[in-house]
Amino acid sequence: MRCSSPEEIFDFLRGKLAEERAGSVRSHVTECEGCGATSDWLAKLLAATAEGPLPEPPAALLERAFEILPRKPAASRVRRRGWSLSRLVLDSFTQPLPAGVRGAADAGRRLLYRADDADLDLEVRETPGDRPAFRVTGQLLVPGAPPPADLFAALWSHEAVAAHAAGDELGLFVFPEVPPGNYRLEVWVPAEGRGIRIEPLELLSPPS
Amino acid sequence: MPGFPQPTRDPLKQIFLGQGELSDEELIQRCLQDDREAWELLVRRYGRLVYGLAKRAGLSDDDSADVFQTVLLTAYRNLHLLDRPESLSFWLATITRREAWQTRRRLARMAMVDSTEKADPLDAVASTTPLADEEIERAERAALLHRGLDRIDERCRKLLETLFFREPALSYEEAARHLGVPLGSIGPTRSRCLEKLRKALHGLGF
Repeated sequence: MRCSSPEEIFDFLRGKLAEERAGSVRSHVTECEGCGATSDWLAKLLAATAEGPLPEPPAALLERAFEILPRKPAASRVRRRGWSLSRLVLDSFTQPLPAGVRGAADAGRRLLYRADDADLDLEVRETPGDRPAFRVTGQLLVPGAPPPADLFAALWSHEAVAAHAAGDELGLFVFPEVPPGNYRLEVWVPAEGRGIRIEPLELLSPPS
Repeated sequence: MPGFPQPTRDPLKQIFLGQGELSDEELIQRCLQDDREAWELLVRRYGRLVYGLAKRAGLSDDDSADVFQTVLLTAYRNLHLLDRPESLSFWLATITRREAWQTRRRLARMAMVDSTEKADPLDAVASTTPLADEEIERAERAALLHRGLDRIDERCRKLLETLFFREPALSYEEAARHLGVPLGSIGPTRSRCLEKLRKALHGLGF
């Protein structure tokens, strides 16, 4: 038998050939090295397409993911003393709320804020228990620099400190149980004489 | 000026589509130097794998989007820890598998807790198995295939996409009508397009 075209091998692999012809192609691809290689390649191709196309992420989602890396390199971003108001760069939930936290109990939420040359990661998770509450974990990072040696974080509500925490050697801080409400988060780095503010930080009760 | 090539307006496109497509290793190096274009390229190159895997894990559009963003944020934070740049695809797929699994477990727990849930909670628990290695591998291959399809001309891409993904499969007559080409050209064109795809995929390790 002469060599099959890739097209015929393709039809053979998809079971589209008449039985007699399929038998000839089957025995040929086991004997002919070239057609065997084509058959293997086409079989891999078909296996990759068996579950249909991989869905493409929506364009808006891609745009948000681009923002994870700052437009300006960290080295060129200015570090200022005093308080800086941070900008929400990424919110792991797709439903946009202004710097708030969707109250759904289905997942922890990751938020990335940026102020000058520093990034502040927040993770908000519901805590188990009868009363609704959230565990808020934060980490202050300056790309390309070691974590800040000392750091203090405070959650303000109605101009009073509702909770406070000290950072560890990695710049991590935790508020273990925060009731739902509207807050202002302040993170202060004494050695650098500067702080970052997130306002408002809405921790919303899950819908009952 | 006639005869002179026009300057490329979109350097990213040039990197993306040109002969000198960046390897994953180069891409990672440039991302680590805060190269925004390289990061965008990385997100475009692997976005479909991450999002597609989350969808294949059975998550909704919203939950898949959550997983997508968490995975890319995790990747950005940990890119410097990746020892073997050639395993970038597998690394991202592994993070996605973990995140998707955790999301499914949380959803299953909610279904168990919520007594008003109409669906059988056992169904939710049964679906919390992480994606198997074979599923990850299939998705990685599918992502490579899409990259290959992006590298060939539009006519061939359309034809092959119709061939691979159209369910139920089209007859020659239907494919010719769908693509607006003469019936007699479908067979030979398909062979030529498969050959183009093979060349395009060759350099991608498919």
